[in-house]
Amino acid sequence: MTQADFESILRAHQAMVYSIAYHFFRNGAVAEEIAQDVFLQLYQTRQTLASPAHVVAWLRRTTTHRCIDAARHRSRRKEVPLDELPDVPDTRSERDLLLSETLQKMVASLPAKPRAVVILRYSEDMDVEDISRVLEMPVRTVWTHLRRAVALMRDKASRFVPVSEARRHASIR
Amino acid sequence: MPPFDNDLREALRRREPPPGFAERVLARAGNLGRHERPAFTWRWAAAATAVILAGGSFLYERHLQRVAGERAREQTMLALRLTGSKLHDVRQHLFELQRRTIELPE
Amino acid sequence: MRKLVPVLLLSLLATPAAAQQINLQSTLERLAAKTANKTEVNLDASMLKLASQFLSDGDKDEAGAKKLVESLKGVYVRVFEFDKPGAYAPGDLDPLRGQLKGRWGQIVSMHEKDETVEVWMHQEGDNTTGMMVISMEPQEVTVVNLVGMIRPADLAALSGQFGIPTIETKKD
Repeated sequence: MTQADFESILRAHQAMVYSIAYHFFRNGAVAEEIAQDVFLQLYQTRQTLASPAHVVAWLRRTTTHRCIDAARHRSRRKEVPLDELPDVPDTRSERDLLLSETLQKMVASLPAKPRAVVILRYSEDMDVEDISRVLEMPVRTVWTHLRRAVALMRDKASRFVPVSEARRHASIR
Repeated sequence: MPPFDNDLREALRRREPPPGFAERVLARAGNLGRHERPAFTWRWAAAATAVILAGGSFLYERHLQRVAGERAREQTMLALRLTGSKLHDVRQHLFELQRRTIELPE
Repeated sequence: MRKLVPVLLLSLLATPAAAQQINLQSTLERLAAKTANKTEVNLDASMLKLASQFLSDGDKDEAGAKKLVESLKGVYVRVFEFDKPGAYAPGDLDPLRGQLKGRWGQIVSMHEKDETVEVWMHQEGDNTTGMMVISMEPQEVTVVNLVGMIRPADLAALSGQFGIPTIETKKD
């Protein structure tokens, strides 16, 4: 892999790697640290990757495993820092923004492996067989993690009412 | 696609890294030969192997205990999360019942 | 069959010493027979003590769990997953309920949408020394048996913590 190849891969896939780590921890600093380490690992081991698809698979696998390992060692997994502003102006309604934030928090608070499954499924749009290869777990286990996590979050989200809407409701007599 | 799946996809949509991310990675990659050590994981793997070979069965026993302890920890958290989830549902249900009871006309 | 042998041995060795620990192996046989997809957790006092050593004080949820398990003597969980609704009957849990009636009090029975949750408590004087949570959904049954001293603050922590973010609900 030449320097130019590496730079090209970095620029093409930085968002994917950063995103997986960000949604895992909801922490920009941690996400950047992990994302940098993933690319440096790629650089140092001089991986010879046969095709663009292999590059993506390697990056996803490495990022996810680093996130799972880091989650086991981090003591501040549940502490969500002040989040940065969205990258682009967000024109969604207040309800949608708050729901998104709540869902992100729920995902980030799942146990490590179910969290990885949900992120790979919904952020990376991977199918269950591919997720099972990345995480080196049986397909059935992936399904179980997914079903349970989504059912739990769906149930919690179904009772979701943004604070401002709740106050408006409370004032109606 | 079910609406909730859409909500999850929206919530977990790709995020761009902060500006300058690629430049920072390239700078570190450029420094690697000069200043930085080999990858974190390789260094720890080499150190762990040396310790284990030198330590023998005592360390192996400790390792087994750590594995058992980690598993016990995971199972404890799983059990408490399952319990917590169900009790949360009950609490929410009771809260709703109480709210509806208060609103009943006389 | 190989998988069942250690479970059976465990259940024989772990004969409940007190009324607050129910033998989940024998009382849930009917359910177990209807699915191969099961999750099982068996943590006696020594395993809980070991787990406690690995729970992090720096993590809010794990610190909370550490505090909670201090007074517990056992945590036993069974989760049964079924391929389709109707694969089990509510009556399959009657052997378990039969063990609970008389010695335990059912404090909550909730039915909402597709889920039924029962909460049973074992009292000794003013103290709660056991809790059983039974949850039935169309394709999943969860049974949790906590053995040991359970304080009201523990219940509040359980229902409000452990990775489930609190969400605003409609208020008056």
